[in-house]
Amino acid sequence: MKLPTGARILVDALKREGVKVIFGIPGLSNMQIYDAFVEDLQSGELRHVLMRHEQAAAHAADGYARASGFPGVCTATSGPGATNLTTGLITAYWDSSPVIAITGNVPRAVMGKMAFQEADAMGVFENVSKYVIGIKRIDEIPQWVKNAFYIATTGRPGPVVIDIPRDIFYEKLDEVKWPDRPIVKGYREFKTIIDPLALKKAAELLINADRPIILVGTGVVWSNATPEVLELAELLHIPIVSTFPGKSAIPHDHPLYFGPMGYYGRAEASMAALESDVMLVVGARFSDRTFTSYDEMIETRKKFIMINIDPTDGEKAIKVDVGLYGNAKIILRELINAIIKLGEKRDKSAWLKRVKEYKEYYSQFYYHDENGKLKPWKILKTIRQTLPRDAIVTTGVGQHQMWAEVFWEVLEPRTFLTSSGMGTMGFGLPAAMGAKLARPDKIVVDLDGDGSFLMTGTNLATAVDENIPVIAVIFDNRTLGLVRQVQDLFFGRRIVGVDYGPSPDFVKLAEAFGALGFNATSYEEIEKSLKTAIKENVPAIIRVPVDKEELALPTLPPGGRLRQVILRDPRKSS
Amino acid sequence: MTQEKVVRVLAYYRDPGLIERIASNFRKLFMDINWIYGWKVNDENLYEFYIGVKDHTNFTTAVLVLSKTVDVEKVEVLEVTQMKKIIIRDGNIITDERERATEDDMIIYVPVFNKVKGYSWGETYVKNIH
Repeated sequence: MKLPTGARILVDALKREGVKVIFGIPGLSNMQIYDAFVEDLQSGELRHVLMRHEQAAAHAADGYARASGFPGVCTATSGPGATNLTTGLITAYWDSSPVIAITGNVPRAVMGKMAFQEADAMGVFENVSKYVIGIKRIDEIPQWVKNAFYIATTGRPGPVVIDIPRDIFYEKLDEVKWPDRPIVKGYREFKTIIDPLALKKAAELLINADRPIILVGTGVVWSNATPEVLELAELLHIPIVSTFPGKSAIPHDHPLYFGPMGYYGRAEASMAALESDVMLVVGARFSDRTFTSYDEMIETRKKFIMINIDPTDGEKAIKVDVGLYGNAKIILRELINAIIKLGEKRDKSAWLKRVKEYKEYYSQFYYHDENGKLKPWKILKTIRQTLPRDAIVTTGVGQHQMWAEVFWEVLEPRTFLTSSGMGTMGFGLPAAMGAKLARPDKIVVDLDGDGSFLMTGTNLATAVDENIPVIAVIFDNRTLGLVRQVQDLFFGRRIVGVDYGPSPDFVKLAEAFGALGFNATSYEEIEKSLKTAIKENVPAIIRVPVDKEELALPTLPPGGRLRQVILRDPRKSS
Repeated sequence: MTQEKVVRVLAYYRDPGLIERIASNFRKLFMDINWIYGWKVNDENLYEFYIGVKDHTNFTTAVLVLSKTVDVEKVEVLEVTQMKKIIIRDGNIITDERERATEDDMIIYVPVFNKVKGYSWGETYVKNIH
């Protein structure tokens, strides 16, 4: 009888967890895994996507996870392969995305001798991931693969690394014991606590509030609680605002949604949040990008009701008046029932009217046309009108991301993927590739900047080779626009180290990779290029020129409060 | 003089990274550890650590984050009434606080406490010892 190797057991363990796609790059210390899954690739049970850099492999796995809700898997060899994963993994960690990374390591016999491509993977990853598992024996593989998926997907989701010395890949095992459940000591899922008294108190607060508001975060996405949020909001006529990543939770054409609040958020959302007297926070932590000043947020003496998977999240910043802890979908259902049971309603129309007035008032600052220039809001509007409702959009990081925060209209949950916590440039393209493989029936578009795109742009070759038809729309302003903007506005116009020259020509770059390239210099050309790219169903770059003087507004001064929001170009008034 | 906080950590050992992750939890928040010692408690690989930490504005955050770190069962903040210094020298136990330790001595700090506030995976509790 042919005994299974460590590598074969690993592949079988991954398949047992439901893995269909692995993003990675082979090398000396993980090629045993590749050898083990050759037949699985041939049979179509697994798909391997050969990325051009391990950072992109992690981002692709992250995009796969965010689009599907199922963990994305990536692999890298020891040394530089493993360390290249670092940025991708911390990106997933900060945005609570479940990623499983498998790294090979050098054989145990040569460890500590500065062996070729030896790196302390566990030491590197232990502070950029939710957990790192160093496999010490072949018989640990089945249990720890199961445990890894359990840790990655429960509680606050996050990336888990499994590091395996390559000599273990070659070992053989007489009898494989497949676990039926995870066993992890010193780890517990957060409980869902149904506290009738707290639910009643929360219900009363919301019913009796004059100016209630709901703030939603990514916890709503991960718990699939969008219907419950909308039902609650509609029940009491409460306006909804979101964190930046929480945009992905609420259809923006819902009449009660007023956009993301925060540093680069919509002013009407921030102002409504400040003015509210009761804030129901669902699946969001009190991040410094959303609440730029905690003092400012509590000045109005509002009451906070917090629904969160993690009961101690609230303790970090603000006194929570009513804590409801556990799965947001379940808790919201209980809260709705508690409100219905109380059977009371108070007229909130004056408050809703006020928030709508905020929206109308601030609109005057957002939507300006300028002859001869493509305006970001209108570019995004054109793209939105061209794409179907369920198209998935990713972003890079920079000004284009902030424009997307304010102007991109999310119409279905899980269709807006962005690196909001870590702000990792280069996320957009590989995350789009991962999302496309998770949801091949959807059109996937990466909204990117020229600076951000080029950080992982080589992976366009993978998109072409592997026939992953994603479209990158590059807002090309030949500068690191967000840094430039801060230098311009707050560093006395001392612009330094941000402006690019004419390289590259993005159309030629696309063509060199075998993708379609478009230079769209009008809104009509943007629409036409998008339609052509969708029709051709191949990877494409659409380069859209944007003036480097264009600002991402609204914004705040560094360290500023939400009330200090800057809405107009300050350079034009001076 | 900087005040010291004392925490007790119960955690399951899988590899020595456990000690690193406990220490790095404070390091990441730019905090300092005065002393640390720990031992294996049972055959389930449960370990107990006592850690003296310089008080810091990030102390509560550090405790909360540590209490939700994989492998860590619970973190308790001890309300210490007295820290007893014990010097073990040549097999002899010296409890005289005035005795100065030398590099060959083993020093153990024994916290005397009457109340703990515990944190474990989102749950909190308070225990009065007396």
